[in-house]
Amino acid sequence: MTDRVELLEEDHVYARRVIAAFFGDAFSASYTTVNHDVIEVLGHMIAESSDCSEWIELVPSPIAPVGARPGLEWSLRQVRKVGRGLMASAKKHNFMCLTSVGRNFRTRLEEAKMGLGGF
Amino acid sequence: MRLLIRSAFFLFLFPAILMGCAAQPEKERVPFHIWQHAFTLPTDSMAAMAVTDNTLLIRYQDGARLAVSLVDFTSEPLPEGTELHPYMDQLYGNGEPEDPGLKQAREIVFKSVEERSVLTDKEGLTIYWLVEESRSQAFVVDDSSDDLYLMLDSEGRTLESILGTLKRR
Repeated sequence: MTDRVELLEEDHVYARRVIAAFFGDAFSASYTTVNHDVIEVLGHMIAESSDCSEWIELVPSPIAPVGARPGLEWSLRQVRKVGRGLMASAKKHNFMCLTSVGRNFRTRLEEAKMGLGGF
Repeated sequence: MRLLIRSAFFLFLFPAILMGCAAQPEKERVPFHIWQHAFTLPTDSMAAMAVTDNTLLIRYQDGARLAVSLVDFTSEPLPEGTELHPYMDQLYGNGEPEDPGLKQAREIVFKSVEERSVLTDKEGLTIYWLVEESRSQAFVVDDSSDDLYLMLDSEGRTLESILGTLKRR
Protein backbone atom coordinates (compact mmCIF):
# COMPACT_ATOMS: atom_id res chain seq x y z
CA MET A 1 0.00 0.00 0.00
CA THR A 2 2.76 2.41 1.07
CA ASP A 3 4.70 1.83 -2.13
CA ARG A 4 1.69 2.78 -4.20
CA VAL A 5 1.47 6.24 -2.61
CA GLU A 6 3.32 8.46 -5.00
CA LEU A 7 4.76 11.76 -3.87
CA LEU A 8 4.25 14.48 -6.46
CA GLU A 9 6.78 17.21 -7.08
CA GLU A 10 4.65 19.76 -5.23
CA ASP A 11 4.36 17.44 -2.22
CA HIS A 12 8.01 18.06 -1.44
CA VAL A 13 7.33 21.80 -1.49
CA TYR A 14 4.27 21.46 0.75
CA ALA A 15 6.18 19.27 3.17
CA ARG A 16 9.04 21.75 3.36
CA ARG A 17 6.56 24.56 4.03
CA VAL A 18 4.93 22.58 6.84
CA ILE A 19 8.35 21.80 8.34
CA ALA A 20 9.20 25.52 8.20
CA ALA A 21 5.97 26.34 10.06
CA PHE A 22 7.00 24.03 12.89
CA PHE A 23 10.77 24.55 12.96
CA GLY A 24 11.68 27.60 10.91
CA ASP A 25 13.17 28.19 7.48
CA ALA A 26 16.75 27.32 8.43
CA PHE A 27 15.78 23.85 9.63
CA SER A 28 13.48 23.13 6.71
CA ALA A 29 16.13 24.06 4.13
CA SER A 30 17.76 20.63 4.33
CA TYR A 31 14.48 18.91 3.43
CA THR A 32 14.83 19.45 -0.30
CA THR A 33 13.16 16.12 -0.94
CA VAL A 34 11.11 14.10 1.50
CA ASN A 35 10.22 10.43 1.79
CA HIS A 36 7.18 8.52 3.03
CA ASP A 37 8.51 8.37 6.58
CA VAL A 38 8.88 12.15 6.72
CA ILE A 39 5.30 12.57 5.47
CA GLU A 40 4.04 10.21 8.19
CA VAL A 41 5.90 12.07 10.92
CA LEU A 42 4.41 15.32 9.63
CA GLY A 43 0.97 13.71 9.80
CA HIS A 44 1.56 12.86 13.46
CA MET A 45 2.74 16.41 14.14
CA ILE A 46 -0.34 17.91 12.52
CA ALA A 47 -2.60 15.53 14.46
CA GLU A 48 -0.85 16.18 17.77
CA SER A 49 -1.09 19.94 17.32
CA SER A 50 -4.76 19.87 16.35
CA ASP A 51 -5.61 21.36 19.76
CA CYS A 52 -3.54 24.45 19.01
CA SER A 53 -6.16 27.07 18.26
CA GLU A 54 -3.72 29.24 16.29
CA TRP A 55 -3.30 26.32 13.90
CA ILE A 56 -6.99 25.54 13.48
CA GLU A 57 -7.48 29.16 12.47
CA LEU A 58 -5.34 28.53 9.42
CA VAL A 59 -6.13 24.92 8.65
CA PRO A 60 -9.55 23.77 9.81
CA SER A 61 -10.04 20.36 11.38
CA PRO A 62 -6.73 18.53 11.02
CA ILE A 63 -8.24 15.72 13.10
CA ALA A 64 -6.62 12.31 13.00
CA PRO A 65 -8.74 9.17 12.60
CA VAL A 66 -10.19 8.31 16.02
CA GLY A 67 -8.40 5.44 17.75
CA ALA A 68 -5.87 4.94 14.98
CA ARG A 69 -2.44 6.30 14.20
CA PRO A 70 -2.39 8.57 11.18
CA GLY A 71 -1.32 6.51 8.18
CA LEU A 72 0.63 7.62 5.13
CA GLU A 73 -2.37 8.50 2.99
CA TRP A 74 -4.04 10.54 5.74
CA SER A 75 -0.74 12.24 6.47
CA LEU A 76 -0.16 13.13 2.84
CA ARG A 77 -3.65 14.64 2.58
CA GLN A 78 -2.94 16.80 5.64
CA VAL A 79 0.47 17.87 4.38
CA ARG A 80 -1.09 18.93 1.09
CA LYS A 81 -3.93 20.79 2.80
CA VAL A 82 -1.73 22.51 5.35
CA GLY A 83 1.02 23.23 2.83
CA ARG A 84 -1.46 24.83 0.45
CA GLY A 85 -2.98 26.84 3.30
CA LEU A 86 0.39 28.15 4.39
CA MET A 87 1.46 29.02 0.87
CA ALA A 88 -1.80 30.81 0.14
CA SER A 89 -1.45 32.98 3.20
CA ALA A 90 0.54 36.14 2.71
CA LYS A 91 0.98 36.51 6.46
CA LYS A 92 4.22 35.42 8.10
CA HIS A 93 3.24 32.94 10.77
CA ASN A 94 4.85 32.52 14.14
CA PHE A 95 3.17 29.80 16.12
CA MET A 96 3.78 29.60 19.85
CA CYS A 97 1.79 26.40 20.37
CA LEU A 98 2.68 24.69 17.13
CA THR A 99 6.42 25.24 17.44
CA SER A 100 6.42 23.99 21.02
CA VAL A 101 4.49 20.83 20.20
CA GLY A 102 6.46 20.20 17.01
CA ARG A 103 9.73 20.12 18.96
CA ASN A 104 8.62 16.76 20.38
CA PHE A 105 8.86 15.31 16.88
CA ARG A 106 12.19 16.80 15.88
CA THR A 107 14.09 13.58 16.50
CA ARG A 108 11.56 11.44 14.63
CA LEU A 109 11.67 13.80 11.69
CA GLU A 110 15.46 13.82 11.54
CA GLU A 111 15.52 10.03 11.75
CA ALA A 112 12.98 9.78 8.94
CA LYS A 113 15.04 12.13 6.79
CA MET A 114 18.18 10.07 7.40
CA GLY A 115 16.44 6.81 6.55
CA LEU A 116 16.42 5.52 10.12
CA GLY A 117 12.65 5.02 10.03
CA GLY A 118 9.75 7.07 11.29
CA PHE A 119 6.87 5.58 13.24
CA MET B 1 28.48 32.51 24.91
CA ARG B 2 28.72 29.36 22.81
CA LEU B 3 31.71 28.25 24.80
CA LEU B 4 29.69 28.53 27.99
CA ILE B 5 26.89 26.32 26.78
CA ARG B 6 29.43 23.89 25.44
CA SER B 7 31.01 23.79 28.86
CA ALA B 8 27.59 23.36 30.37
CA PHE B 9 26.98 20.38 28.16
CA PHE B 10 30.23 18.89 29.31
CA LEU B 11 29.17 19.42 32.91
CA PHE B 12 25.88 17.78 32.14
CA LEU B 13 27.59 14.74 30.77
CA PHE B 14 30.21 14.66 33.47
CA PRO B 15 28.15 12.76 36.07
CA ALA B 16 27.37 10.12 33.49
CA ILE B 17 31.05 9.78 32.68
CA LEU B 18 31.89 9.41 36.34
CA MET B 19 29.46 6.53 36.51
CA GLY B 20 31.77 4.71 34.12
CA CYS B 21 30.72 1.77 32.04
CA ALA B 22 31.31 -1.90 31.66
CA ALA B 23 34.91 -2.69 30.68
CA GLN B 24 35.11 -3.30 26.94
CA PRO B 25 38.03 -3.37 24.53
CA GLU B 26 38.47 -0.06 22.67
CA LYS B 27 37.78 -1.76 19.33
CA GLU B 28 34.21 -2.36 20.47
CA ARG B 29 33.63 1.31 21.15
CA VAL B 30 33.12 4.15 18.72
CA PRO B 31 34.99 7.40 19.40
CA PHE B 32 33.34 10.78 18.86
CA HIS B 33 33.82 14.39 19.84
CA ILE B 34 31.43 16.83 21.38
CA TRP B 35 33.27 20.09 20.77
CA GLN B 36 36.61 19.82 22.53
CA HIS B 37 35.68 16.72 24.50
CA ALA B 38 36.34 13.17 23.34
CA PHE B 39 34.17 10.22 24.28
CA THR B 40 33.54 6.64 23.29
CA LEU B 41 30.28 4.73 23.17
CA PRO B 42 29.96 0.93 23.08
CA THR B 43 29.02 -0.32 19.63
CA ASP B 44 27.88 -3.82 20.52
CA SER B 45 24.23 -2.88 20.74
CA MET B 46 24.27 -0.10 18.15
CA ALA B 47 22.42 -0.63 14.88
CA ALA B 48 22.95 2.73 13.14
CA MET B 49 24.38 6.17 13.68
CA ALA B 50 23.84 9.36 11.69
CA VAL B 51 24.82 12.98 11.99
CA THR B 52 22.77 15.83 10.58
CA ASP B 53 23.63 19.54 10.79
CA ASN B 54 23.17 19.85 14.53
CA THR B 55 22.05 16.42 15.64
CA LEU B 56 23.66 13.11 16.50
CA LEU B 57 21.26 10.19 16.00
CA ILE B 58 21.85 6.67 17.32
CA ARG B 59 19.57 3.69 16.79
CA TYR B 60 20.16 0.58 18.93
CA GLN B 61 19.53 -3.02 17.91
CA ASP B 62 16.64 -3.31 20.34
CA GLY B 63 14.95 -0.34 18.64
CA ALA B 64 15.95 2.20 21.30
CA ARG B 65 16.98 5.64 20.05
CA LEU B 66 19.08 8.53 21.21
CA ALA B 67 19.33 11.99 19.72
CA VAL B 68 21.46 14.91 20.87
CA SER B 69 20.64 18.23 19.20
CA LEU B 70 22.06 21.70 19.59
CA VAL B 71 19.24 24.09 18.71
CA ASP B 72 19.39 27.78 17.88
CA PHE B 73 16.30 29.12 19.63
CA THR B 74 16.31 32.30 17.54
CA SER B 75 15.75 30.24 14.38
CA GLU B 76 12.52 28.73 15.69
CA PRO B 77 9.38 30.42 14.34
CA LEU B 78 8.14 31.83 17.63
CA PRO B 79 6.49 35.24 18.06
CA GLU B 80 8.87 38.17 18.12
CA GLY B 81 10.15 39.00 21.58
CA THR B 82 9.93 35.43 22.88
CA GLU B 83 12.87 34.91 25.22
CA LEU B 84 14.54 31.56 25.74
CA HIS B 85 14.67 31.33 29.54
CA PRO B 86 11.13 32.39 30.49
CA TYR B 87 9.83 30.36 27.54
CA MET B 88 11.57 27.16 28.68
CA ASP B 89 10.49 27.72 32.27
CA GLN B 90 6.87 28.28 31.28
CA LEU B 91 6.75 25.37 28.84
CA TYR B 92 8.77 22.71 30.69
CA GLY B 93 9.43 24.10 34.14
CA ASN B 94 7.60 25.67 37.05
CA GLY B 95 6.63 28.93 35.36
CA GLU B 96 3.02 29.87 34.71
CA PRO B 97 2.46 30.41 30.98
CA GLU B 98 0.74 33.67 30.18
CA ASP B 99 0.54 33.29 26.43
CA PRO B 100 -2.53 31.20 25.47
CA GLY B 101 -0.56 29.37 22.78
CA LEU B 102 2.14 28.43 25.25
CA LYS B 103 -0.51 27.33 27.74
CA GLN B 104 -2.03 25.02 25.14
CA ALA B 105 1.40 23.71 24.20
CA ARG B 106 2.23 22.93 27.82
CA GLU B 107 -1.02 20.99 28.19
CA ILE B 108 -0.29 18.98 25.04
CA VAL B 109 3.35 18.33 25.97
CA PHE B 110 2.47 17.24 29.51
CA LYS B 111 -0.38 14.93 28.44
CA SER B 112 1.97 11.96 28.35
CA VAL B 113 4.64 13.07 30.82
CA GLU B 114 4.75 10.87 33.92
CA GLU B 115 7.63 12.50 35.78
CA ARG B 116 9.35 15.79 35.43
CA SER B 117 12.06 17.68 37.23
CA VAL B 118 13.98 20.91 36.95
CA LEU B 119 17.63 20.69 37.92
CA THR B 120 19.84 23.72 38.42
CA ASP B 121 23.43 24.16 39.44
CA LYS B 122 25.60 27.01 40.63
CA GLU B 123 27.21 27.31 37.18
CA GLY B 124 23.93 28.63 35.79
CA LEU B 125 22.85 25.46 34.08
CA THR B 126 19.19 24.45 34.08
CA ILE B 127 17.98 21.05 32.90
CA TYR B 128 14.29 20.43 32.25
CA TRP B 129 13.85 16.68 32.47
CA LEU B 130 10.69 14.99 31.17
CA VAL B 131 9.99 11.28 31.44
CA GLU B 132 7.22 9.47 29.58
CA GLU B 133 6.40 5.77 29.58
CA SER B 134 9.16 4.84 27.14
CA ARG B 135 10.78 8.17 26.38
CA SER B 136 12.99 10.68 28.17
CA GLN B 137 13.76 14.22 27.09
CA ALA B 138 16.08 16.79 28.58
CA PHE B 139 16.31 20.44 27.58
CA VAL B 140 19.50 22.06 28.77
CA VAL B 141 19.86 25.84 28.96
CA ASP B 142 22.65 28.02 30.25
CA ASP B 143 21.93 31.30 32.04
CA SER B 144 24.58 33.01 29.96
CA SER B 145 23.17 31.96 26.59
CA ASP B 146 20.02 33.54 25.18
CA ASP B 147 20.02 31.68 21.90
CA LEU B 148 21.20 28.07 22.22
CA TYR B 149 19.84 25.07 24.02
CA LEU B 150 20.57 21.37 23.97
CA MET B 151 17.94 18.73 23.52
CA LEU B 152 18.53 15.11 24.48
CA ASP B 153 15.86 12.66 23.46
CA SER B 154 15.83 8.93 24.13
CA GLU B 155 13.24 6.29 23.49
CA GLY B 156 13.24 2.65 24.57
CA ARG B 157 16.00 3.26 27.10
CA THR B 158 16.33 5.91 29.76
CA LEU B 159 18.71 8.79 29.17
CA GLU B 160 20.53 7.88 32.36
CA SER B 161 21.25 4.35 31.15
CA ILE B 162 22.55 5.57 27.79
CA LEU B 163 24.69 8.35 29.25
CA GLY B 164 26.03 5.81 31.73
CA THR B 165 27.68 3.92 28.87
CA LEU B 166 29.74 6.96 27.81
CA LYS B 167 33.43 6.84 28.56
CA ARG B 168 35.85 9.73 28.29
CA ARG B 169 38.91 9.19 26.10
